[in-house]
Amino acid sequence: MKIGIPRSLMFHKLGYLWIKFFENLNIDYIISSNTNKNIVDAGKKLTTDENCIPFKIHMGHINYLKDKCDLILVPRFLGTEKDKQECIKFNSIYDVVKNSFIDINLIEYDIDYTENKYEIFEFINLGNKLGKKRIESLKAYRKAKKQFKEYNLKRFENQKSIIKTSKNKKILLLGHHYNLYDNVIGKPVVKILKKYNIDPIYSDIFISKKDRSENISTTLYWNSNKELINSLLYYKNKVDGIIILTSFPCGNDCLVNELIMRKVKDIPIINIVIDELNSETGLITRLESFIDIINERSNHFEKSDKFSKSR
Amino acid sequence: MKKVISFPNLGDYYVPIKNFLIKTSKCEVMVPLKSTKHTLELGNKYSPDFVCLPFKYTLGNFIESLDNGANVLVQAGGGCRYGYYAEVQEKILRDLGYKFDYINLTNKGGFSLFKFYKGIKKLNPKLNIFKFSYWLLVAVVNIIYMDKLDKYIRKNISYEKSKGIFMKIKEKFLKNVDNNYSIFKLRKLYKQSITEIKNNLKNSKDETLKIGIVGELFSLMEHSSSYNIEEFLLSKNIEVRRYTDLTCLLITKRFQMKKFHKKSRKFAKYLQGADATPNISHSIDMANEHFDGIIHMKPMSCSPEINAVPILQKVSEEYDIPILFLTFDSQYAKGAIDTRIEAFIDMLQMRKENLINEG
Repeated sequence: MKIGIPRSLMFHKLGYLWIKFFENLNIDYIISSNTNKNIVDAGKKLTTDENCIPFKIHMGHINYLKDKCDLILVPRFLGTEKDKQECIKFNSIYDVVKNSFIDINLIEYDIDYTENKYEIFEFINLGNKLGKKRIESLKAYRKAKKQFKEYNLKRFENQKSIIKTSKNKKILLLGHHYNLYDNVIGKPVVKILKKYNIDPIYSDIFISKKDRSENISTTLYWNSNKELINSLLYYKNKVDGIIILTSFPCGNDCLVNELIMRKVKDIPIINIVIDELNSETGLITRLESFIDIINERSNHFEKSDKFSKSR
Repeated sequence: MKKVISFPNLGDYYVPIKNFLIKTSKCEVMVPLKSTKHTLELGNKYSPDFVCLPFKYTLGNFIESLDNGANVLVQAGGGCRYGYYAEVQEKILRDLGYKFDYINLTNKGGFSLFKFYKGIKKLNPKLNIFKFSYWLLVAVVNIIYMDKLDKYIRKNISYEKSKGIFMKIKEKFLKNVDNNYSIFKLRKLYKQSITEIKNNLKNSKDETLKIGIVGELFSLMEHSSSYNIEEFLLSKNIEVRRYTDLTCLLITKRFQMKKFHKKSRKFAKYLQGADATPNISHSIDMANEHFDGIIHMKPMSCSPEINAVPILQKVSEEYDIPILFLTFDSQYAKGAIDTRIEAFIDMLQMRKENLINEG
């Protein structure tokens, strides 16, 4: 049996955990290729036009995997707590996929606090569905979770060391993981930044137990946006500028980013909205001018420092 | 300074909200102006780029009220993104330079009555929890009777004796609520209105269509945001079925969720979030009752309803019932919408005749 894992949406956050879980259980899996034009086009055809781009890409990936494996992993997320919900798209992702394709075999797990469905039990059930014993799945999950935590910690340490050691300018890329790491949405931005010798700091690489998001928003109840705000507050003083990366038309982001832009004022911020028709030149122009602003700003501060010292 | 309370528009529900606020806070209450193109333009100007339409309308309402002298604003919310409006709108209005008190009833994505009580207690220190609960009860009773009357009108519109008489009765009911604001008087008023409607019923029914309306709550209840489609259908003597109203949202929905889920199981394994699951279940109900068609309405980028679209398409296929999907945005083109609705009605009419001819 072969499991298909689409390289989209939650893959960029939990993909490592899934892979390790399947590896520990000796289950064969296949990950779809990086997002490319064919995948985006297929996704566009399969969804209504008002869906957000990450979701369209997700459909494209499922279309890609359709004939290459027996089961495709499409988990559903509602949230682990009342004030830690996921975007409403994740509530219905399983059913939308199921209804958009004819004859498709999906396998899912469900994280839902209202029905007491938590990760550990759901993974055991997932293993059970794949014909493995419960104890076996539990062991595999715990091992995978440990590896997942170590992996995340390593990434975090890595990023910290970049901030400490690198002499380049640094820009925080503030956006959901499925935007930042996607080949079509986030990668072009990263490429341009690297071309100008700027280190991108990824907002999703951040581990903290304390929730400080109330400093910016008190009634927020979306988990991913809370994580973004937490990492924004942590990295704010360590970087030279912030790029808010949003995909069109992200419902949660358009409200929360508005609040962030209105409340965080002491650092240059640009809000870049990635559309499916995005032209490279438009993106380059905006990013170049933003980079210019950051460079000019630091030059200006250096000059004024010298000026004040000379007096 | 004298406190003047205002709140956003939601169809005819300004009547119970206004009375509730007057009785509990003892302050002056400003009913927001009817939402118009101007309201939308105002809201649109200061809203984030691709936020959904209710945000723009309610922000426009607030700005109009503040310009007219209101200085206390009340915003509720819950479900999907609506639970987060209040905070962003407050920040936007404060950045615009308005000075006001803000009663934010949302709490972590839900609706908090305790916050409401605390907010009003600040305005009227004499208020106690019993008075608050009593007036809340009256307001709920008022809402229930309004919805019942509305439902009765929508159901019996094809029996209407002379055109527009039902609407007049409804308006009279809304006008008289202010002077009869207690549970028993409201009940009496409601009974009066129903008998009045019954006196204006024809014996035989017009051969008209039956259309169901499902979709997002704001487009359904605040008719100006959906180009008065419901009034348009009613004016053509078309029987309209709409499940979504405040009674449903505040009271009955939470008890029926399991039923809805069970009914929609055939198409959707899990709950879809916000009103999507009820809408699917209602559509199945209406298809089973041989309705002629269904209109599905949503503002642009409304995630739960977008998610419901592929499932509703499946329902439409399976039960052979036409569904018209409409999306509203800040572009105001009533003609375009009317054309589509009229074409839909014509199509349904022809379809019905064909079905009858085929036997």
